[in-house]
Amino acid sequence: MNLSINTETLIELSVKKTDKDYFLISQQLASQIQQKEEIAAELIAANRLLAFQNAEKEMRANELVITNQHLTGQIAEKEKLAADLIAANKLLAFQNIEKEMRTSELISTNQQLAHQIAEKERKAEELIIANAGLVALQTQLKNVNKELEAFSYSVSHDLRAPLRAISGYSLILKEDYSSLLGEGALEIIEILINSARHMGQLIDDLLKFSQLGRLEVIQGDVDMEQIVQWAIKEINAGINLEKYLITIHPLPACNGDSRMLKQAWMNLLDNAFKYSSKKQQPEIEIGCHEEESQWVYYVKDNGVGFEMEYADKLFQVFERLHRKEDFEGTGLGLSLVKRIIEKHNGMVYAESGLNTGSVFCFTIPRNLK
Amino acid sequence: MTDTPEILIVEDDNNDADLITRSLSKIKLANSIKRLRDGSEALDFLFARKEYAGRNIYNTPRVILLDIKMPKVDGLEVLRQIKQNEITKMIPVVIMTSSKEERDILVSYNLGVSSFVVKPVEFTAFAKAVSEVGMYWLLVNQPPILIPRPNEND
Repeated sequence: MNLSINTETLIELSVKKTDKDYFLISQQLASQIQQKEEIAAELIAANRLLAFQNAEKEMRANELVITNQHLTGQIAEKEKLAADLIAANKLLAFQNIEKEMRTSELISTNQQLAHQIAEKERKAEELIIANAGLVALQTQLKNVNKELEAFSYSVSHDLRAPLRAISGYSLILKEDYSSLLGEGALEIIEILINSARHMGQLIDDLLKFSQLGRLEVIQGDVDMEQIVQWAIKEINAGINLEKYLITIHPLPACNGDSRMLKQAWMNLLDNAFKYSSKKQQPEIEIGCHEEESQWVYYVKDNGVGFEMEYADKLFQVFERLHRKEDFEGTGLGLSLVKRIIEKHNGMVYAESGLNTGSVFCFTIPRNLK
Repeated sequence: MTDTPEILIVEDDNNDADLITRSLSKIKLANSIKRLRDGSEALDFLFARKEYAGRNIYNTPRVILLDIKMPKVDGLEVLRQIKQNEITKMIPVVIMTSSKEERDILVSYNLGVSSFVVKPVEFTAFAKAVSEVGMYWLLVNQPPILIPRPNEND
């Protein structure tokens, strides 16, 4: 609305109207002016209010701008965080897949282990059963061994006593009652005495043989030269060795059971002396040579020898290649040697020809330890 | 003659006992021999029990020839009891057995045996072993100084 009072309008009015009219008009005008002034004042107040409100709004706007800037910053930040979160999420998803993979691997491994454990338990059960079987066998063996021990004890004791009586009373008959007996009777007595002696020897050898089966090899350093000397001395106490030409080459020491090895030497030397005893000049040679990982000890004689086709019988129990009336023996000596040497993880063998003498060899591993 | 022989033979086998006596008589050592038939009789004799009650246990033999394998009480048990007793422990004991069992030899020496002789099967060797044992313990060996005997006049 146009509130300004136009002068031209006033003039126009004054020209056309009377005083009264003028008055009225002027009153109207004054009222209008007042009205207008009031309105103006109101307008001014309103204007001020508006101005104030405006200022306020600007202030608010500024504040809003600032807040807006702030919010913008926050939004950026949040976007960054969101991006980070997305990345993290992706990583987690990846890790999750990885973990699932691992889990499935673990599950299969676990199944395998369970299977293996089951298998092992099965085997353990089998072993337990086998073990129980072994324990039973062991007790059985122990019992058999005990029986054998009792048997050999009784053999060595109970079988000897009657033999001693046979031998003893035969001799007493021969010595104290010969005047009452004829020549035939004395011959029979001689047979009784010899048979009793032979049976005694058989019992002794059998006992040695069975005892050896139960004995463990007691390992130690064995001075073979000394053992051979002892053995010869012992044999010499029984039979005269004067006519024998004995050569002993250097004998290396070895590892083994000295008592058993002495027995082996005794038996081999005994044979050598026995089977060469009918020679005019019996010769015995004792020696050793080295062969890769073992010692080969030998006893050589120039005695009656044996035919090689029977060589495999030599070391068997009770096998003899000579008649008893030619050479005495029980047929156990060489099987005893074989047992001893085999207990030392060695071998025994012989070479000979009829009347060309024989060589008996046995091997002992060089590092038995 | 006293109730105590010089040689005590503890042997269950009649033949062995007889052969031992014969061997000893060949060297004139058989005039003071007593033979007992098993371990329990030997213990009764030595410690004056049962049928030997009243015997003076201080009258000890010069030597005891003891077999191992005998019924009732074996020789090793007899040896153990002899060596555990203050009166009898000084008597020389010679084990004479048929078997050369290492376990027996070890146990015997552990118990304090004086000799361990394996009876040879062959009589000549057997007679030789017995007479050597007799000669040694009765003629060569110096017996322990006699321990005081409460009843000297038996």
